[in-house]
Amino acid sequence: MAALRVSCGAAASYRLFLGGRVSFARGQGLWKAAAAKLQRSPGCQILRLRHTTVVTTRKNVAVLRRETYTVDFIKKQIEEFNVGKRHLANMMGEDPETFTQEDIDEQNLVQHICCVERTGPKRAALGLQELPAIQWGEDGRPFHFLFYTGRQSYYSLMHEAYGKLLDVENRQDQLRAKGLFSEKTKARDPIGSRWLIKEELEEMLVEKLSDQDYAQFIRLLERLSALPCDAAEEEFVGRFRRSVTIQSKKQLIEPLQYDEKGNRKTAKAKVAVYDHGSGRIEVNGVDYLLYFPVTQDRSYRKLSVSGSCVLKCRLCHLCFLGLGMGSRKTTKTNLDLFHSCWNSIPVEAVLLQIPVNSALLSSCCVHPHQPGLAPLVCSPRGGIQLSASLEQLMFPFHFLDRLGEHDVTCTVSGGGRAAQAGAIRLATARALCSFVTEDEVEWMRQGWELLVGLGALPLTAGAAGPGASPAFLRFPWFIKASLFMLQRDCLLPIPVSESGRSRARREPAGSSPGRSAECLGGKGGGAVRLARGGRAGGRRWQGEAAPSHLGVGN
Amino acid sequence: MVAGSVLPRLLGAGVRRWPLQLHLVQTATPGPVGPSGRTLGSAVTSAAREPERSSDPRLGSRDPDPASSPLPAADLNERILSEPLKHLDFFNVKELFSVRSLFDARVHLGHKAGCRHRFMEPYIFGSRLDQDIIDLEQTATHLQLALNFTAHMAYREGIILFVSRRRQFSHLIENVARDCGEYAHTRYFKGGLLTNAPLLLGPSVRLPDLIIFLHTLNNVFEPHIAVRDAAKMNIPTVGIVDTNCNPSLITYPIPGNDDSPPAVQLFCRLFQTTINRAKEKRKQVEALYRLQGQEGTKGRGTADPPSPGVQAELDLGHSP
Repeated sequence: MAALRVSCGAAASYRLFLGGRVSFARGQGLWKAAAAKLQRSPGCQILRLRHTTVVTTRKNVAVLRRETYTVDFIKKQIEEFNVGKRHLANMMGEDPETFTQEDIDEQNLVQHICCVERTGPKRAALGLQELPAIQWGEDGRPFHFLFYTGRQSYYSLMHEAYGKLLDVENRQDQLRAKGLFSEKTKARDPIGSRWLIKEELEEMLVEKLSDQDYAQFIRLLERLSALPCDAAEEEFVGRFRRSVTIQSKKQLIEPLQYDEKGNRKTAKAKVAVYDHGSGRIEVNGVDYLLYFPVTQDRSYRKLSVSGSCVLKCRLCHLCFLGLGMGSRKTTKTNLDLFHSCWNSIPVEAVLLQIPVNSALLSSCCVHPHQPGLAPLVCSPRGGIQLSASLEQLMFPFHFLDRLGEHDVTCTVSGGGRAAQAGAIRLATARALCSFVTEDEVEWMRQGWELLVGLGALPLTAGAAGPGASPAFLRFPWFIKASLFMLQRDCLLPIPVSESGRSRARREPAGSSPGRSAECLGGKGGGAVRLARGGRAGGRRWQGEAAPSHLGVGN
Repeated sequence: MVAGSVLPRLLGAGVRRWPLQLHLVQTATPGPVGPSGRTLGSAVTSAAREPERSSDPRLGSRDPDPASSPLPAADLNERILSEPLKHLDFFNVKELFSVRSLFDARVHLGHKAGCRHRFMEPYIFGSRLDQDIIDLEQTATHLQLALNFTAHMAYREGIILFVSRRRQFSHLIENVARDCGEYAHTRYFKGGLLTNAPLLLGPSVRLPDLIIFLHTLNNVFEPHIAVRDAAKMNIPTVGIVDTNCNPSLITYPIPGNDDSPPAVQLFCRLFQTTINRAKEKRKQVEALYRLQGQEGTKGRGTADPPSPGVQAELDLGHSP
């Protein structure tokens, strides 16, 4: 092994020295002779192998042309040129006799562009892709110190970012050593800016990136921005953030106009939203519950409830949990829906007195003064149907947590029921814009986008996609709640007592319209059974009466 | 293996005896191939990939005509390049380190005996509590050779590539490379980077002339691909080999610790200093010879033997 190394070393330095000698004009001759000499010496097989390797990597074209320009040489070149010209003409299908210099120039240009010109409009005109510009100087040395990695811009960016991170950490260490360190938490504006997307970064670096590289880079930047940064570092990070154009600003939200128009398909709606209302919605002079009867749109959001049940619910038309229990003989049943909502919607109890044996909305009465009515209808088969249209109407309010605060009067025409519902929803949303702050609006919009992106909300109202479960059933908090309930496997009994009901009713009345988050389960409430679909799909339990003190008012 | 037996052979890799023979050969006629023998000859020349040939395009190195006399510029450049080769330690790299400084930087600490590579046994002084200790005398020798080689490469304007795959030191090594004007590759090494360079890097790219490995192993404790590829492409390598590394393919191995930060920082500092020193020296010598050449052409005509003054200047600053 040592011997091997010696000869390698000998060869290396020998080559070096030979190279020095080779700078004379008779370079190759020297090499050949030297090689011959070496081959004669015994133990130098390794050197012989080296000399016969053919490796031609450096083609410094300018350097190779070292012939002296003698007259013979020039004549030979002219002859070759003429032959080549005729050859080119034949290839191009032109007449060799009349192939002029202009034609040659044109053909040269094409080939030149293909082979030599790396970028430019001419390449684009010929439909060729651009090659990156030559990245080394005359002597062959590349300009950038990370050239040999193959992706110099991306790696130099990573290098720079990491350097900045180290600087910040050093500074922190120094401060800590001096005792001046203070925990400063930075809150970056959640709305208003976003990281560059991969395509934008690729465009910036003029290099192809993979998803992992992009993710790595963003992670590094996030790590950097989480630390207390200097102005320079902030500027560096700011280069990779783009402001999210608050599109809602572009809408002309006239300050005090509450009337709004909405169009959906061929339905036109005009909506007037009044503040300090109680959640009454009138459509074309008719209460919305009557205007959008359930029987007309067969919504899939059907929970089956068996038997009589007392359900307390707060309007969240995106979700509700139903209790089913007991026998089916519920002629005069008060349905209270228990509802648990893990976010900040205050849960108020609403009492519905819906005669079970009527499926028509006209015979269904909804307590007029309860905020946040649950648009529920109990059909005789025991299913509680939620109208999709009604959900749509409620949606803007629900999203803004203002379910019981506004009165709405709308006039709608054209289209079908669902389209009208969508139109009204659009109009109410627009009208509500006047009531909310800009931030909230932006938050609304982004939240909607987020939820749509997550697949939790359908892109268009009423749409859920093929094979999708109803959106609300997929909400994590809903799932959590129902799982919790199922786990506990405890069923709420029927609160038949008046006191219970009134207590429950009183509680939400006293509750502030604040945003208090609470959960049914947390209050020691019983399990809520959730049964989807009709008779076939649902699971049935025998339940007990639910104590009314499990009311979920605050 | 005792350092004494290794040393003369390694030192004998120097350039003392060859120049005389080359002079004799030079006067002879070029080989049987003749003036148009650019095929094999040029292949041979480019196979070695000497840095100075690409850096001095004005030299008539590819002119096959043996009858043309060397130009004064060529002569001057030839002298610039040959002068350092006449000395054993032209750049005086020995003064940059000592065995003591290596010891203080914990260069002698190897891995556990179980990780030992068979080929590293000659370089290991012994084993203490199952940890291998590297023989710093040998390390010093190898380090001197390696630094000397690096300095010569930098003097001849070769491209030096620092390679490592340790993320802990990646930033440091890239900074070192940038500061001495050379190149670094401490990232994922793409397959054909050296062997398929025209495709990956560009049609007429110039490959590195020296590759320095701060860490010979990659992240999965296998030899770095660049070791093998450099050997394939005839690129000389300098590498710090720890007790678990394979030193076979590396041209100038430096047995030493590559895991401790002080050790790696010491090596980085040494390489940076040598490269900067060599480049400085090159600038000085060029300026000097240019001055010499001007005076020569003005006053006395063509090729002049170097005056004793020049020789004295060259002797300054280093002790052979």
